[in-house]
Amino acid sequence: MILQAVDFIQVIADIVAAILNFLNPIVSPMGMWMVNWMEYVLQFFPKDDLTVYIIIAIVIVILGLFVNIAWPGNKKPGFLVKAEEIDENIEKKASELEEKVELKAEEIEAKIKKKQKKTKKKAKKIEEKAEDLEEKVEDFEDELEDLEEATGKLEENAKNLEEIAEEFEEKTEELEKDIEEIKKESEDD
Amino acid sequence: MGRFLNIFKGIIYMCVYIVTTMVIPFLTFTWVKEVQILGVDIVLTQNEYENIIFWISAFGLLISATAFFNYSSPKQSIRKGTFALVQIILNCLYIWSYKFSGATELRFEIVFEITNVGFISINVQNMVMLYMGVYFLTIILKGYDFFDFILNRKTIREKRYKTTAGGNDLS
Repeated sequence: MILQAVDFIQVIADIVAAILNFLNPIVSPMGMWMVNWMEYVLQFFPKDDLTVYIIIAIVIVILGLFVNIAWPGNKKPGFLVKAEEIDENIEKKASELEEKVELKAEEIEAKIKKKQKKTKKKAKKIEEKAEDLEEKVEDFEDELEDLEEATGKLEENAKNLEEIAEEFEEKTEELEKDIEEIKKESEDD
Repeated sequence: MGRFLNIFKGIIYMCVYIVTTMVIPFLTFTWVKEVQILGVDIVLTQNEYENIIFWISAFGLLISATAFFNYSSPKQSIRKGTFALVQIILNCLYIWSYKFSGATELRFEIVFEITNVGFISINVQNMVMLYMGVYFLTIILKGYDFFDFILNRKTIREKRYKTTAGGNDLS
C-alpha cells in the first residue's frame, strides 16, 4: 500500500514537473528577478518580533476605516460640483433670458397690434377720404360736364348773338344807307 | 456604495485573507508536522517549523490588513490601486517566505513502528519560482491599473458620477 501511494505521488510529481518544464523558460527569468529584489527587501523586515507586524496591520486597518468612512467615494468631486454650478447658472441665465425675450416679444406684439390698429384706423380714414375725394372728383366732373355744356350753349349763344349782331350791323348798314339815301333825297328835295 | 457597505466588504475580504493566508497554512503545517498515513507516521523533520509559522503570520497579517484597505476602497480609486499593488507585492513576499523559511524543501521521514523506513523529500522551489513569474505579471497588471487610475482620474470620476443619480458610488 505504501509503495502504491509512493507511485501515485510519483505520477503527480511527473505531471507537475512536465508543467514546470514547459513554463520554466518563460516564467522563471521573471521569477529570478522577483527573487533578487525580494531578497533585498526582506533584509529590512524584522525577523523575530511579530508585534511589529501586528502593529502595522492594526494601523493599516484603522487607517482604512478612517479613510473609507471619511471619503467613501460617493461625494462628487469639486470640479464636477463646479461644472454643475456652472450648468445651473447657465440654465438660470438661459431661463432668465428666455423670460426676458418672451416679455419683449409680448411687448413687441402688443406694440405691433396697436400699430396695426392705428394703421387700420388710418387706412379706414384714408379710404373714407379717398371715397370723399372720389365723390368730389365725380361732382367736379359732373360740374365740368355741366360747365362744358353751359359753355357750349354760351358759345352757341355767342355765335347766335354774333350772327344777330352781324345781321344788325348789316341792317344798320342798310339803314344807314337808307338814311343816307333819304338824306340825299331830302337834300335833293 | 455607502461607507458602511464598503467597510463590510473590506471586513469580509480581510476575513477571507486571514483564513487563506494564515489559518489554512498554519493548520496545514501543524497537520503535516506529524501526519499518519496508513498507520505509518510521517514526521516532518522541518526544524524551522516555527520560522515558517512566524513568516506566515507576519505576512498574513499584512496581506489581510491591506486586503481590508483595498476592498473597502471605492472602485477605480487611486487608494484602491495603491493598496492592490502593495497587496500583490506582499503576496510575493509571502510566497517567497515559504522558500527562505525552508518550507519549499520539505523532508518527511517515514517511521514504521520504531524503525525508520526511509524519507520523502519534496522540493517545490521550481513551483515557487513559477508562482513568482505569475506574480510578476500580476504586478505589471496592477501597476498598469494604478497608473491608469491616476492618469484617467478625471474621466473615471466623471463616468462614476454620470452613471449614478445623485453621485452615488456603484463600486
